[in-house]
Amino acid sequence: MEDREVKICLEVRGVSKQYGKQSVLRDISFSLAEGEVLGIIGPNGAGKSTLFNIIAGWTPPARGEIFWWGENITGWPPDRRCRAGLARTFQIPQVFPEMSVLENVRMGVWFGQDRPVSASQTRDRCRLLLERVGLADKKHSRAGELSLMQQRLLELARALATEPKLLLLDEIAAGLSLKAVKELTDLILQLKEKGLTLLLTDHLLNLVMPVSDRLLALDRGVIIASGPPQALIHDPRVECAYLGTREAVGEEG
Amino acid sequence: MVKSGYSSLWLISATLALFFWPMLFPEAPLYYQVLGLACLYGTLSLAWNLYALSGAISLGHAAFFGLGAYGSALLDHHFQWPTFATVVIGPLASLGFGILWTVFFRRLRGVYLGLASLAAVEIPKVVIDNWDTLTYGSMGLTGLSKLPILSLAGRQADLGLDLKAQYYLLLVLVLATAVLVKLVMESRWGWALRGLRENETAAVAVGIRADRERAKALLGSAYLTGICGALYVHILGLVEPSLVFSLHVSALPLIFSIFGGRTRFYGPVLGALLLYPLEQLLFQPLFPRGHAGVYGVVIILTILFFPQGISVWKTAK
Repeated sequence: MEDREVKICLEVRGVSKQYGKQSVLRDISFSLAEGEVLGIIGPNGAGKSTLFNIIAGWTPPARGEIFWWGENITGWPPDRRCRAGLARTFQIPQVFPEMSVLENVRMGVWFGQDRPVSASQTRDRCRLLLERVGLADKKHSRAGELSLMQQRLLELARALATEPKLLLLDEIAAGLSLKAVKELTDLILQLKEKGLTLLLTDHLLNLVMPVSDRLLALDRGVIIASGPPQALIHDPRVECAYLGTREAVGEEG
Repeated sequence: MVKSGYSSLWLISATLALFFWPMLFPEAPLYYQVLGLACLYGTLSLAWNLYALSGAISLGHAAFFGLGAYGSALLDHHFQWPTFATVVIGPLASLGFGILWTVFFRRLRGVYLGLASLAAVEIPKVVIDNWDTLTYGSMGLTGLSKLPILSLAGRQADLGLDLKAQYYLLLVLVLATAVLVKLVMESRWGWALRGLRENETAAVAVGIRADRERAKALLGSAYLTGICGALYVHILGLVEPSLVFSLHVSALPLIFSIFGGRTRFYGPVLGALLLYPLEQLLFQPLFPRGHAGVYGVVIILTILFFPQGISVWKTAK
């Protein structure tokens, strides 16, 4: 793979998870370098979301550990991971519905890190982020009234407001039109250029393909292949995993 | 929704009216007493709502009310401490129970928290009911000190016997608490609580410490509720378990807050000041036996027609 000069920011070591007798993840290990964009792909039920929730701290793993800059964070709650620089978005956007768009983003600025932020810094950061995601003219709208795409953008802005070192995007393209996916792709490419480390999941490939440096293919709880995007999608194991489940595409994985 | 300019005009007018109406009615002890208690219930509702700001609906605030009441009453009866000291120190019992509450109910939400909190009232009630040597059990304590005489700028106000002076004390208490709650709601902590109320998942995802912020709200709420309980027993001069640990005490702040509106700082006060006098002065003479039923009717109508409370005044979807 790539040369090992780079710094490892996230390391997943031997993570397993069962729900009852159903094994969802089996002995998953991989690491993520600073500045890298890693896409996790796989058909529905492959375990992508579970893996994601384990990394973000929402689900405890049955076995295995998560390291963040060399520190074992397996037992940390999600809010602490967020303040340590590990921000996430959700498949179904989670906004504060009665707050305005601006207030939503401000929540990220205020609570996303331990050091205090002044009022003027807060204003500037909110404005900048809303401009970056293209919601500046919506800043006084109620978040609950936004469309799905706008809520995704808002959630992205709010996650960025916490000043993450790693951003976890869970199925951010799900349910969006091709045009919207294209816009999101451009936005994510911009974030990548700024040096942000990203971890994405997607069961469709139109978003992860152009933005990822490396892909990890998951099927039935195991990593079946990993490597650069172009090489990986022609891997027969990946093709097999996908072709078998094509019809299920469109539901959440 | 009321425009904020009109809204503050209304608030100022209402506050002035609360201060000056006794000049129009110089001898109306019943009104002083009822409105004084309405102010006490307004404070209780604000205290209850402080916890509810974080999205947690408690059906067990009678536990804090009763423990504050007994804390103050026992210090008064056994040690004869000055009343203002017992009113401040007695509610530490509520605070202690609040700490247990945050430990044991940490993971409960919604209906489950409601049921657990409803049951939680029974614990201090049963203990106090049976610890005869300390509390005199279900007989309760009588002859407690009334509120003291206050000397201010050469004038004396007997807060215990002069109902008008007592009304002003309770009015100042409710207004001060309302200002405190307003400051809380505008602070970053207040926004953290609002985040937890609107979407706890999102709140945790932006780094809010859900358990810690909610626990702080509960402890503040518990202590304030305890102070209300303590004042209540010194106003009456007696205390017994069935009086201060009753379901009524848990339900009233919820009813007043929902009616007035939980998302405005003055909502709970508005609810208490409108509903309690209505119930006491209008419905009690009309229906001496079932007058509290008005609360049930009011809460059903509120939820049907303005679910956010009258201070928000949004119609149901």
